[in-house]
Amino acid sequence: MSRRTGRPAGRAAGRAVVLALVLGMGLSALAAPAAARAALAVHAEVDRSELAQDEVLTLEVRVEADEPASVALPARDFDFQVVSQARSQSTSVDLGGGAGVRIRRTTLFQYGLAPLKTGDLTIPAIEVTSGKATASTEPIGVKVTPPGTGGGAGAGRGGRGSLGGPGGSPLDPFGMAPPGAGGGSRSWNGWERDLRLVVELDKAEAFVGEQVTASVFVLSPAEVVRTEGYQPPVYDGFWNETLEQATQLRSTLRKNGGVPLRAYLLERVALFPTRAGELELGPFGVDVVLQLGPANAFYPFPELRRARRQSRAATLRVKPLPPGAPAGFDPANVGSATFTAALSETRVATGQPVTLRLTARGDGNVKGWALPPVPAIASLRAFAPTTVDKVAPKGQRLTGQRTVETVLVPQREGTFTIPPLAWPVFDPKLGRYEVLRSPELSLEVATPAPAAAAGSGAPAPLPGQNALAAGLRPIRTGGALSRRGEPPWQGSLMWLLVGGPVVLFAAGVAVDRIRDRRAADGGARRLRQAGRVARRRLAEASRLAGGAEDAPFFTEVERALSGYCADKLGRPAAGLTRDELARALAEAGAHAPALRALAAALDACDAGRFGGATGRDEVLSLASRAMELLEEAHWQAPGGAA
Amino acid sequence: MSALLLVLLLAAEPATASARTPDGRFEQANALYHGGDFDGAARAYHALVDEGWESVALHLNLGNALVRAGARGQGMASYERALRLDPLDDDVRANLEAARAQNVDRLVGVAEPSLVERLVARTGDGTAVALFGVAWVALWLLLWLRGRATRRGRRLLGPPALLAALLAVAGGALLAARAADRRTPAAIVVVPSAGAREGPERALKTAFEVHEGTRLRVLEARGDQARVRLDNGLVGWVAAADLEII
Repeated sequence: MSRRTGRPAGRAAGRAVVLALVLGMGLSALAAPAAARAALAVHAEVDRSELAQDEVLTLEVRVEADEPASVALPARDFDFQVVSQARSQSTSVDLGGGAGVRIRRTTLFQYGLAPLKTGDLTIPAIEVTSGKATASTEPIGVKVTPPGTGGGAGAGRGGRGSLGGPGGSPLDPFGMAPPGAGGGSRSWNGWERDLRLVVELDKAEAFVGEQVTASVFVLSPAEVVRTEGYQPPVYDGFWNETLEQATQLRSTLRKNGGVPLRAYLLERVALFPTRAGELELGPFGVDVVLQLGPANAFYPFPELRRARRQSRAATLRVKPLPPGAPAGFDPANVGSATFTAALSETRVATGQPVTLRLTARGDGNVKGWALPPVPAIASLRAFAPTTVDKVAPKGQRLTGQRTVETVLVPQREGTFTIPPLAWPVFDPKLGRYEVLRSPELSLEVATPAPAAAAGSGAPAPLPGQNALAAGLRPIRTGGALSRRGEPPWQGSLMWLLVGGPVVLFAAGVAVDRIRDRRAADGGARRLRQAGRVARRRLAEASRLAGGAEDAPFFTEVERALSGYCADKLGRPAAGLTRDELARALAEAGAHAPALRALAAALDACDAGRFGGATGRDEVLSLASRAMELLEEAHWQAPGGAA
Repeated sequence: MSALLLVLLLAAEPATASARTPDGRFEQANALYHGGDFDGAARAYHALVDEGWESVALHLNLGNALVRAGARGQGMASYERALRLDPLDDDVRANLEAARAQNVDRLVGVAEPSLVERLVARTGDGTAVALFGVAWVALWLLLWLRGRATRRGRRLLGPPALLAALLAVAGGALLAARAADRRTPAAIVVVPSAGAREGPERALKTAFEVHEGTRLRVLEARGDQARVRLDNGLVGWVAAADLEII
C-alpha cells in the first residue's frame, strides 16, 4: 500500500521542479535584453606613457558588450599615424548570477600609433559603439621626445599598467608562447607591438636620377609563416626597377633596441628620383601571418595570427643636378658608365649594310639613358636605330648596358669616317659631369673585285648583272646524270634491307636447331637400336661359323660387341683399352656381371682369332651371354637422357 | 656522189647521236653558259631536270645559270636540290650562302640548330640508308655468330653486337629524320616580294611580307595558296606560285 500512495506524491514533486526550471529560464530570457542594454564596458590604455618620435606605442581598447562593437578613432586633433591595427574577440556564456543566459563578447582593439610630433600629446576620447549603446574612453596623455631619445621597443614594457608585458616573464622573453601556456593574453601583446614593416633607404639624400635602393623588411619577434597582399606605394617622383623580390621568406637576426628580431626581406627596389625636393616613399603594406610558439610535440598546432602592417613613409631629399651641364646633356644620363662605338665590319662593298653599335655600360638607370644620335654622313645611308637593353642587378645596384644599333649602307665607294661621338653624363659618385667620347671609326667601301669572277670559269658579269654572280663558284662540266627516283627508303630495296637480315637470321637459327635435333635424335636411335644391330651381327657370325676361315667369324663377333658398346656410349669404342671400355660402360650404366661377360667374350674372341684354342660355338655363346647381360643394364644416353 | 653522201652521213651520225644523249645535252648547256647565254643554259638544264635527270652538277649549274640570269630565288632552290643529293658539297654550299647573303629578310628569333639537326642536314639520303643498312646487317650477323659461338666467343662478340645495335638505332633515327624532312617540304620565295596572310582567302589583310630567297616550310596547300612557316615560327598563307618547292 505504501508504494501505491507514494507514487503520486513523487510525480507531483517532479512536476513542480520542472515547472520551476521552465519559469526560471523564461524569466531569465525576459531579463537578458535589459541587462544587455546596460552592459557596455570600455577601457583604453597604452603600453607606455613616454616614447621617442621614431617609436611606436600600442593603444589597446578593451570593449565588453553583448553585441558586436566598433571603435572610431578621432579624425581630428589626432597627432598619431596608425601604422598597424589588429582585433581579437572572445565570447563567454553566463547562465547564473541572476541575470539569466548572458552572452558576453570581449573585443580587444589594438592600434600601433606613431607620433607625428614631439611634446605632450593626448590621445582623445575614443567612441565605441555596440548595438544602440555608445561609450567613450578617457583621454590618455603621452609624452613624445625627439627621435633617437627613446629606449627602444622594450623601453615601455615595464610601464604597461595592469596588463603587464611579455618581458616580465623570464621564460618567454619575446612573448612567443601560445596563449594558455602560462602567458594568457600576454603573448598576443608581445608580438603585436614588435611586429613592424620598415622601409630602409641606402641613402638619405641623392641627386636627381641617382640610384637609391629601398629595402622593405618585416621585423617580427616570432616566425613569419607567410605574407600576403603586399602593396607597394605609387612611386610618385621615382623611376623604379625591382632588384630582388622574396619568393620565399628567409630571416636574418637583427637587434632593435637590444631586442632580437627576425628581419624578412620582402622586396628591394632601385629608385631613380625624377624631380628635386623632399620625396616621400610609402607607405608599403602587407598582411603578415605569424606562428606563435614552436610547432613540436608539445604544441602540434601552433597558433597562427594575422595582422596588417603599414610602413611609415620614408623621406628622401633629392638634390637637383648641379649647374654647368655640358652641351647636349640629357638629364636622364646619370650614372657611372663607359661608352664605346664599333662597326660590324670595316671593309664592305657598295650597297652592303654595316652595323654601327653604340654601347653604354655601367650602373644607373640604364633604360633611361639617351645615347647620342649618329651624325648624317653624305652617301652613307642610315636607317632608324634599334635599341637593346640588358639590365641585371649586381648586389644592391642596377647595372647593365644599352646598345643602339644603326644600319648604315654606303652608297658609293671610298673611305667614310664616323667622327667621335660625345656622350655627356653626370656621375653621382664623382659629383660632376663627364663627357665620354667614342673613338673615330673608319669604313672602307669598295666595288666588288672583278678578280673574284675570273676563277669561276665564266665571263665577268656584264653591266647590269648583280654583284652576286661574280662570287659564284664555277659550274661543273663532268658528272654523269642519273634518273631521279624516290627516296631510297621508299623502294623495295629498303624492305629487303630491313627484312633480309632478319629472315636470314631466323633461317640460320632454324637450321641450327634442326641440325641439333637430328643429332640428338640419331644418338637416341642408335641407343635404342644397338641391341638389334648387335644381334643381327651375331646372327651373321653364326652363319659364318660354318665357314672354312676363322677371321670373318671372329671379326663379325667383335664388331657386334664393340659396335654395341659404341652405340651405347655414343662414341667409337675401337680406340679404348679394355679397362677404359669397362670404366666407360660402368659409368654409362652397365653392371659388373655384364662387364665380366663382355670381357670374357672379347678375350675368347681374341684367343680364337689368334690362338685357335677357343671353339666358335663357345665364342658365340659367350657373346650371346654378354649381350643378354648388357641388355639388362639401364643405359644412360651420352646427353644424360635414359 | 651518193657514196660521198653516205660517208658524210655516217661521219655526222655519231656527233648527232651524242648530242641527243642527256650527257651531250648537258655539255651543250655548259657551252651556252660559258658563252654567256645564261637564259639559254638555264632552259637547257631545266629541260633535263624536267625529263627526270639529276645530279649535283646539273643542279649546281642550273643554279648558277639562274642566279646569273637574275632569278636568284629559283637558283637557290636548285642549289638546295643539289645539297639534298650531296649535303657536303662545298661548291654548292658556298654558292647558296653567297645567294642567301643577298636576302632582304632577316629572321629574328631563329634558334640555333641543335647538333642533331645539323647532323641531319649534313647527311644525305644515301648515307643515312647506308649507315643504317651496314649497322643493321652487321647486327644480325653478329647475333647469329654469337648464337653459334663458344662461351668465350660470345663474350668477344658482345661489344661489337651492342655497337652495331646502337649504330642501327642511330641510323634508323637519321632515316626517320630525313623522311620527316621530306614530309614537310621546304620552299624558296622566288618573287621579289610575297604577302603572307592569316588565311588562304585573298581578301584577308597581309600580315607580313617575305622576299626573294627566303626559305620556308610548306605546311599545307589549299587551292593556289600554301600555308608556310618561317624558321622563326611565323606562319602565314602565300600564293603557291610565289614559291618553288625544293
